[in-house]
Amino acid sequence: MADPYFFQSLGLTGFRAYLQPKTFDFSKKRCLAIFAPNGSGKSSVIDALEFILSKDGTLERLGQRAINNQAGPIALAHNLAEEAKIVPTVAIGVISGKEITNGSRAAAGAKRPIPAVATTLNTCFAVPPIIRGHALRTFVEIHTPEQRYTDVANWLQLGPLVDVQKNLRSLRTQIKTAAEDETALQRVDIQLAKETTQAVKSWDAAAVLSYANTLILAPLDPALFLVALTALDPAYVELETRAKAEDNKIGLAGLRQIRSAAAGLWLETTDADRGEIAVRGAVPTFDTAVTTLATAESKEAEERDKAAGTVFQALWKAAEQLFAEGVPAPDVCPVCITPITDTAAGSPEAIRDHVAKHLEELADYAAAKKTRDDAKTAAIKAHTQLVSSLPGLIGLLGDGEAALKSALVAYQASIAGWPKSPAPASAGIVALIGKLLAALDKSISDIEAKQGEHTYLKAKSKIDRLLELQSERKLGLRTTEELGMLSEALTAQAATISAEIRKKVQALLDKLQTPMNDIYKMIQGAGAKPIRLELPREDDSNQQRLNLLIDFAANRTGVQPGGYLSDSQIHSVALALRMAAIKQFNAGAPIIALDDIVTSYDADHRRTIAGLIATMFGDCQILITTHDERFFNYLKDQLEAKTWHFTRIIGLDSAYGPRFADHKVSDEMIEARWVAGQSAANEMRQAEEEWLLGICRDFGVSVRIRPLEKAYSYERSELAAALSGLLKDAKLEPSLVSGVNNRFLTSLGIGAIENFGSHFQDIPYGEGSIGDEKARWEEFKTFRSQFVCRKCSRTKFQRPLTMKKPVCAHSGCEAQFEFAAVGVP
Amino acid sequence: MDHEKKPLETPDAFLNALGDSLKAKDGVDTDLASILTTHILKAAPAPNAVAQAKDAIVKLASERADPPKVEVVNG
Repeated sequence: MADPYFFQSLGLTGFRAYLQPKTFDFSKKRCLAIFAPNGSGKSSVIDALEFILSKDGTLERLGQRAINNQAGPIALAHNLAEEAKIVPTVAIGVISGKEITNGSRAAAGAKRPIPAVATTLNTCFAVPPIIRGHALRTFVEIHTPEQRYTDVANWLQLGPLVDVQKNLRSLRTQIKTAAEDETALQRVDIQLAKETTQAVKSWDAAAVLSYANTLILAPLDPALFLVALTALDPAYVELETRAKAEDNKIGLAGLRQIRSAAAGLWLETTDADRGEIAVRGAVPTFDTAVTTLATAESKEAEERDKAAGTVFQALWKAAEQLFAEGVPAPDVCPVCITPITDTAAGSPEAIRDHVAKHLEELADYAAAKKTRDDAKTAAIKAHTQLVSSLPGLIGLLGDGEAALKSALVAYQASIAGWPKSPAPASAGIVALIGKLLAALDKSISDIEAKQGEHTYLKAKSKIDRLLELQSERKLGLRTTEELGMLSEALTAQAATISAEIRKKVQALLDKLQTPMNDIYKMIQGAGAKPIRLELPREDDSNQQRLNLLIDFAANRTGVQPGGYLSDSQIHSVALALRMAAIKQFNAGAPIIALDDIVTSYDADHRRTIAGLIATMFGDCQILITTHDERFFNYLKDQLEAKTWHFTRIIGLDSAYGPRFADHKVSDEMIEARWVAGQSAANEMRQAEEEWLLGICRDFGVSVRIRPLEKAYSYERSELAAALSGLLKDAKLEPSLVSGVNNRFLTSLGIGAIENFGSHFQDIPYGEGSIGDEKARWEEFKTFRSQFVCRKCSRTKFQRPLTMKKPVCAHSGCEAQFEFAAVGVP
Repeated sequence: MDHEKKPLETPDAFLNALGDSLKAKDGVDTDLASILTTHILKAAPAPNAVAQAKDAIVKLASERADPPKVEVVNG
């Protein structure tokens, strides 16, 4: 198996509370515990982990950005990062075996791509490695069994199986719905109603059969009766035969077609209003046109003769102007110079009349010619129509109309010769057509009287349509039936699949259940009722639920923890489950980040949890943040110093970020900073605080119980006052420190901070020079040097409750404490 | 605490084995089992896997309701 992944470093720049770069180095000590009051930037460290591992480059708790709320990813960056031109970034170094991989992720901008190393890590996290105290209850109390199942299935890498179960459920529902769907049948009913003109609105075999017999077949032949709606029924076979015969003979439609063709040639009609008889059709139209043309031609010939002198038209026109009325007439003929009086007319008036007569004859001729031309056009048109109409009727006439057919053919031939040959007489052919029309009208009338609009062809077509609908309906029914069977088979197969998944999930849950209860019992004590992780009963159709159950009492078995367990117990259940799952399934990257997880616990449980981490998670990399100093101290007491780094945030500098102070600051660390030319003010402050806390513990000072809002966070002045009080009671008085006007403890007690006391102010040390720091550090060391065993020079003490004064903690000494002379190391 | 670090059987492998065993089961509708194996029993199913499976099942029902006519060829 490949070496597990661990964080080697974590760097935050311009991210959340961290403006200036801060790097946590895990190369020497794998685990980290950070103590800090609320709102000082400790959770930003866990945020950095969540952010760099997140798929979408944000934090769950940031929510979504909305107008003016400045939420969402914008809150990732420190609010002054842009102004300080700092690029918000989180960087990680990861080690596996000896191979170190680094990656970083921008925490601002639209694109915040996840680094490859984070993606690699994510593949190792079957269970989310970050546990936040505030979210623990959610899993036990708020989450539904379905949500819990989804979470756990994902932890167990069974997400795809959850999807399979969900998809199966959805598919079952959809197939069941499809099997119950009657759309296809309803479609048939709609068509049926349409086909039967609403006589049968929904399928009813008897009603459909009755409709077919009564309204389709009976009007044709009451003897034709379907016993069943099937193509094999004898009545249908007979109907088929008759329809075929009807199709071969001339049916009503055929007769109407012949009548239409005949009427197109000649038809006598009566004007209903005037009572006049009129004929129309191609034949009379042609006859009329030919007659009109003959008349026009005759008239035109006549007028042509009259206007024979049309060649003199120009002369008449010229003469008309010369001899016009009111104009002086010439004395002689302009052409032959004959005196007017000697001409045949004898006078200008007579010449004027003569000219007018000739011009009038020319106008009549022109009109007659136009009439003839129009008549000719009309006759040609009528001829064309007649020529095209004749074949229609000729083609439709059967053998029974041979005489008419023959006459028509002859007529057609004669007509074709027009206008070269005269138009044939139409009287004979008109008489024959008239006779045909009379016969046809009688036949049609007889048929209509007998069967109305019904024909065997139509009847068969309607019955066929009913047969189609019947077939469609049967197919719909069979499909529904098949779907129903498939739906049942699907239910059975889905149950088999679900049962297999259930077996697998339950086996994994069982694997998780034991370590979870081990952890739970360690936190809550051996008497804690075990928690059961159970899937629903096998016959429950919804298997995608996970129940957390306990047997609370003999009469309360298998109950939900939420209703029976205390707040801390519920927290313990969730914490145990998550930690067991991480331990069990995150073997590739056994990393756990715990953010303020002990808020619900009392002191004993906090100690137990510290012990739990020490004993059961020694092979994991754990990052803890807490605002609980007592828990922090328990951690320090119980966890191995060689793998754990303890640090605390001593303040949040808005223009810098959290100010850290490692919990054990050595004199050498302070000296090293000065050698490097750096201020050691914070380290000095931290060292002084650590010493004060340590000596107060050793001396067993009495501290007033703090108000609730500051339950476990001692202030330095409180410790100083408590130590001062104990020393006073024990009549122990430290020597004055050279250069210090007031006694250190006294000055703290009265709040008059001067010189020495400035080391213990509650804010980071200010603007002093390194020289000042060195002077003050010497003063502190001088004061501290008095707290040594005068007998064995050791610095660990204890004070049994029965004693007023502390004694040396070394079992071979146990000398009563007395202040050593100033300057004793 | 017993820390079993054996890698878990992948969902894909589990689902493949599950599909095979389902089809091999006595009396099971193998056509249906094949549809489930093809569309549903997948570690990374298609986004419209359910719709595809439904269509396949409906088509199967239609085919069973109206089987293709077998033409008898003489000779």
